[in-house]
Amino acid sequence: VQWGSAVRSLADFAGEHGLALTRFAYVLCGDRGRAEDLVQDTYLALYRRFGDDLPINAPVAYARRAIVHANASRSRRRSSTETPTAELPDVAVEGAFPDEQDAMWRALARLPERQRAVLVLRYYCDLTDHEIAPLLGATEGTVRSLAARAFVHLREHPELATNSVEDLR
Amino acid sequence: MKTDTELEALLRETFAGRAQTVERAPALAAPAKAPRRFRPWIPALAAAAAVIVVAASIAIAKNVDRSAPARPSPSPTTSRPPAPTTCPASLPASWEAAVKHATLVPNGANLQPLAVSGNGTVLAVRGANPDTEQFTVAVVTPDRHVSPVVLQLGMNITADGRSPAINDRWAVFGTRNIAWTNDAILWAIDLQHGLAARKILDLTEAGATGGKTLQDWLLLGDNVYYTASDTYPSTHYRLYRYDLRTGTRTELAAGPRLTMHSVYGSLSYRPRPTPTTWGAQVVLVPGDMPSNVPAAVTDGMHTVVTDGTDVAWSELTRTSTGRHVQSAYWWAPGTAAPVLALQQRVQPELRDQPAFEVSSVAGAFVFVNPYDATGWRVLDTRTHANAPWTADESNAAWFAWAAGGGRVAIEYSGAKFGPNTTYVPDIASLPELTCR
Repeated sequence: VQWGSAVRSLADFAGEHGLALTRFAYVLCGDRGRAEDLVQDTYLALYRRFGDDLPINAPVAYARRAIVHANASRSRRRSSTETPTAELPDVAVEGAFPDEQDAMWRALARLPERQRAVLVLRYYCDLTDHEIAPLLGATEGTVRSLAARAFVHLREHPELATNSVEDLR
Repeated sequence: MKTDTELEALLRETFAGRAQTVERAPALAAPAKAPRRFRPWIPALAAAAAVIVVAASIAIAKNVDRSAPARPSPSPTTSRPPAPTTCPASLPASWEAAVKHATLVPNGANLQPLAVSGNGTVLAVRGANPDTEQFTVAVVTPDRHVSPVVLQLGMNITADGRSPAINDRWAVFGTRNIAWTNDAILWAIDLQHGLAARKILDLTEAGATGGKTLQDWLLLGDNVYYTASDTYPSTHYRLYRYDLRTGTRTELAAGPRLTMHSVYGSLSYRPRPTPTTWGAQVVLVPGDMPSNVPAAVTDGMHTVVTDGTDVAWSELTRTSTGRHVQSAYWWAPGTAAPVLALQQRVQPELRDQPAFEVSSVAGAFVFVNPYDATGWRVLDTRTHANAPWTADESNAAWFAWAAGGGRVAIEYSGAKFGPNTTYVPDIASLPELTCR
């Protein structure tokens, strides 16, 4: 799709990119219901900003930015209907993923949002730090710092603290 | 210990694997107008610009000449008198002590303040109980007497933060489905007759009358004014008045994207034929808006807030160099001219979009949400102090949502999944902020 001068309807955009955006939102926030909320909010943001048509150059990138920041905002303006829990509500189906991936998912759930966002943008969206920086409203140095701190936290997670190939040598 | 390469590989596998478990996207629901005090489209745009340029020209000045009324969109070229730079400040320990001394109700965790009336009564919501599916709204008087109103709505219901309001007689608020924002119900509670609750508009019902997509609403005396469209997608709105005493609904106007504004008992609206062009303002209820508060506050992209006495608002102007600058103003009756409370350059990518929101005003304090991760800021218009309002805990935050009757409703949202607590201190008890 050439977005340069194209005008797409919001419905078409949702049809083409809705699933990918929902997956992105899910790995970002770790909760399916919230991911759908974030995507719905993003449709709303697009509609309110651009109306029925989307005459913008990169609506997917725009939507990703909207999701990242809506996720941060939702965390700060927590719905009164949310039930406080100690863990993220999504629980992996037993055996659905390798143990290490389960462990990583649990470790990711404990990361501060910006650190997790950096990891998602780097390793799920394959964006460079240069591309990530404006998404987070940060400098590249801050992005690198957030990633480094995230790695420290991941290594400190008890389930990820061992089992390196290097350790086995 | 895992190497960076091993962690990176595991991250890629984990993200890819988890993402594949999502097999459907939410259907495109009819967009409804975003909450007045929490506008998701603005942070998104702010984000898109990679953050607001904070530095540029944060300034505070008193007695700014504002003889020319501001415009709803950036004025062509505006020259303004130079304004002194604001001074960075920190909130003193006495600030937090004053706030925490004024818990709304003892053990009132997870009470979310919505609005404060002119006599200091707070409308708050506890939300849905997942076991009983009851949705509880509370009316809390200044002497901390709590009157709950229980609605049987289901557990996927949340308070609609658009324009909750409370006066001496009525409380008006919205609820909506968490996922489907257009499944909204607009409620009124009669504070003088047993807290009887009624639906002004129920969009969850088939064949709802008075609109199918709720845009916004305002409480003014015994009337609720709201805008709605009949179809989705549509930018053709209808403006209705619902008389709370008689239950009569009257259509008053229709047009493109009608945007309502109210301050000091006045009510006006203006159409917006395109996203960037505005029609003439129409005054529905004259009220007694002071001349010092410009018609400016009619810009749908900006908020005007009041605690019943003081008023704060923001506007966008374009400088002679073509840059956009957003300014926040504070004004109190009896003072000569509005105070320029905050001036901030807008990142070019944001074009004419606001970079921050004036969220509430309480006496001389103006609370600003800068739409970034730095948290809210408190401005003291007496001393020009500009202080970040950050919480000690990671992921926790303070919010000042509304003020009235000399009180301000403040919410502390605890760290991830922690409880939130509401405080309602007297404005007079909050210490004056001083610069470092």
